[in-house]
Amino acid sequence: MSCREELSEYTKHMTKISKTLSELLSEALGLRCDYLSSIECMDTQALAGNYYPLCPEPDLTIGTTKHTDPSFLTILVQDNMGGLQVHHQNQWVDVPPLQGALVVNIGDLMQVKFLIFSVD
Amino acid sequence: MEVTISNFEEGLNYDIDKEVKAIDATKAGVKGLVDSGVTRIPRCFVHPPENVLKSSSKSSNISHQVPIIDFEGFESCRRSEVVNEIRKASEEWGFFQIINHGTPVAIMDEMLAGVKRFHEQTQEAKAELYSRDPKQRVKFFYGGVVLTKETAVWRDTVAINFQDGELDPELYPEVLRY
Repeated sequence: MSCREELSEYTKHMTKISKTLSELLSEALGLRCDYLSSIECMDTQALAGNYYPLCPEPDLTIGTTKHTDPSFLTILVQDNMGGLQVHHQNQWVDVPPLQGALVVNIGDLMQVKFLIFSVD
Repeated sequence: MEVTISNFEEGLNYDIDKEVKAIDATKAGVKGLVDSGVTRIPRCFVHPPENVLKSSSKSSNISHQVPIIDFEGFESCRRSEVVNEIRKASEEWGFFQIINHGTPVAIMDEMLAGVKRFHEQTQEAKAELYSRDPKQRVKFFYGGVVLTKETAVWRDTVAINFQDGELDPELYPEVLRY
């Protein structure tokens, strides 16, 4: 199999996972399972492959600064280097690399949805 | 390249945008800087100390561990359990890891290897994709989304934008093939 096919294979799997997550998140919000897909939340996709070269002065810079994702959903494949942290209850918590796991980050747009649907 | 950059750095009229653009012009990214043998990082990458603090918490407190959700049986017997765990994790963390989600580990590993291969190929091979143009669908750039006067991050990125629907796999970077 060529890697072009591997990449297609990867995006196919990610599309499938995002569809599954949109159904489960819809249900978690107490809505019918196709709700988030019906409002086209999952229609646009982008893929980013980040690479962090060895740094001669690692104490002065950082590979990713504190941020939130301006998306509905981010699905991340983390390598085994670690370094990813999530801000929770005023502290930074390590996201330990776990082979075979996918990291899911609820983006800003979905956070808004949760606020809207979980007011009462 | 290095000389140009250190000249900017030493100048009293330091202009971060000028330095960011000078590195853009090399079309080689952060990896290119490292390969050229820099021992000091250009000033455009230097963040305030409070943003670089590598405070790690290895809390044994279970409430401070990122939730791990097992997708086994989510289409049948464990559906409501999985939905409840997702609700809880989304509300409390907005963040979780999932396991047994059906994507083979080999596919994920091959993707990671492909990305590494992309970034570690020759500068010449990557240069043709170098761009910050939002309209370019397959591209390579460094430093995150560098806005005016924004400090760059120590990172190179290869990005594929599927925004306008399906992208012809023929347009994928060559090196992401075996």
